[in-house]
Amino acid sequence: MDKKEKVKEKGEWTKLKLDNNTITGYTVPIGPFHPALLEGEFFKLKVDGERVVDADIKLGYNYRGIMKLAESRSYWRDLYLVERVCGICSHAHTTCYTRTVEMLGKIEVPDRARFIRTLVAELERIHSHLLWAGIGMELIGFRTLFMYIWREREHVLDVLEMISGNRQHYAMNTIGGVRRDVQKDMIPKIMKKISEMKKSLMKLVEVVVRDPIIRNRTVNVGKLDKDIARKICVVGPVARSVGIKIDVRKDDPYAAYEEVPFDIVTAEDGDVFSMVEVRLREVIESVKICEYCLDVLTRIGGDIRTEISEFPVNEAVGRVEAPRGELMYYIVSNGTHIPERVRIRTPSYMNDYAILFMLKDQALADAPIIIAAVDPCMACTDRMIHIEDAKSDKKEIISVYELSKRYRRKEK
Amino acid sequence: MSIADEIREKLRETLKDDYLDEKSDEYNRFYIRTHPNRIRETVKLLVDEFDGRLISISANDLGFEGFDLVYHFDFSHKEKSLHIAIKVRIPRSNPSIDSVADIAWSANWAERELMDLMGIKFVGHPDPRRLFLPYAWPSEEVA
Repeated sequence: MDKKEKVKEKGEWTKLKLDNNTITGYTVPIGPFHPALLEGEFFKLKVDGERVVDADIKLGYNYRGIMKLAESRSYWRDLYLVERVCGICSHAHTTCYTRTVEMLGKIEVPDRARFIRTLVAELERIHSHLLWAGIGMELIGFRTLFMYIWREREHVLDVLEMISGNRQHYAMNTIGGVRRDVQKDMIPKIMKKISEMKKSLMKLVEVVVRDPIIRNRTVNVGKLDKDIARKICVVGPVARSVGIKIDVRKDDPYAAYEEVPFDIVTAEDGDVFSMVEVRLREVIESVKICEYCLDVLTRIGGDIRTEISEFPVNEAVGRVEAPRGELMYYIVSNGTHIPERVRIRTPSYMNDYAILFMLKDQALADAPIIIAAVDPCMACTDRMIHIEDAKSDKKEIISVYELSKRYRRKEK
Repeated sequence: MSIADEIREKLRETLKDDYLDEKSDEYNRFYIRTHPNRIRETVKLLVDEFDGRLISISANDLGFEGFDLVYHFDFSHKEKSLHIAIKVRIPRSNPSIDSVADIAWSANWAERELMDLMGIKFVGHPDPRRLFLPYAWPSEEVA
């Protein structure tokens, strides 16, 4: 097969917006296979020697058209659909969806339901952040810590299974409340598990923050400028790691966050290290919120859901702090039981844009950890990296794991 | 005076007759309708003067009536829960509007997405390539 036919078969490919005459070197494509919804990504890195000169990104490899699908189902069936937008932050998506629908119909949620929502959301945040920390540590070659962190994550999943019956896709939320109650006899068991976890997590944070190996690989790597971060509106832990103090839980309180005391964790540097630090310190805050919620749940009783009769003609914007940042739903209703328009804006959609700025002028060896640093829902799976020499047509296909293995030891 | 009132006052002052409609609810959300020609001015005002975060652009397909573009601005870092949505309606026969990607960088991907999925043209976009669809996807006229 000659080159022209090959191009025809693959479809036309628009070249990177780079001048090939001035920049000599390789283009390193990373991707595109990806497990999560909106952000199926394909990176093209232009390298000059070992340094990344420019980066480009292409989305849409896993586009499932959830927003269009949601417009053809009833509000109740959409609940199951939006839960499957993301496997890791499934509860955040249903919380945001139910919040927006409750704003449409001006529905009040019972107190007990609000605290159960908060509890599950925080447990989910712990599990998501620990999952990310484990993967991140493995990408820089710290396998022991990866095992250590994931052991703690297993305890969170046990608690979530105890509450909801599932390790993922908890299906706790429904419009106007929650579907399952947290049983009174369950609370002491959860408390015990969480307090044990808290001790080892505190220790773990100290280990990660002080370890010289981790510091060497992450401090001053992939620095994100504060002004650029403001301009591209990054959200969540990425924004907080450059010193932008935004958190939907405080700014636009939902569920029970208005009554729960907690601090917003921020850092100043905006490098990979501060992103690690912010996430791990946030885990400790989340554990505190869980303890508070469990304490309240032992005291208050009452209903866990309200009945809903109709959805009036209206529109609403609901926002929620998912583990990766601010998640937004915009729903327009037309008076029937099917929404007119559902718009989903996921946090990674904003943060992925930051990767392009973070990668510039960094070593190729740091590319795996920089891409993983914004937690783009993509470190979850092993994918293939395709290295291509633009001049000699030399090609090589290796996995992310192998690339990270090859660059475990960075040469200075 | 709260920030919400300040912003609305300023918008009314600059847009004058093009400040077409205003709606609000008890969750501190405001929906303001204006003319598509004034969108660059409005976005510049909200981003530069009031430090608004343009978090998303959504489009509602209204059939024969055209498209409703909704520019979501978040001010909750300044005032609790404050969210202002600027709405403009563009006709179906000529679904095009000025791009704001050079004023608010976060509009870059949102506009590319709408070009892909809704067929709306953003005039003057700095990087009008496909985002979700393959690069080779044929451009279609809106039916």
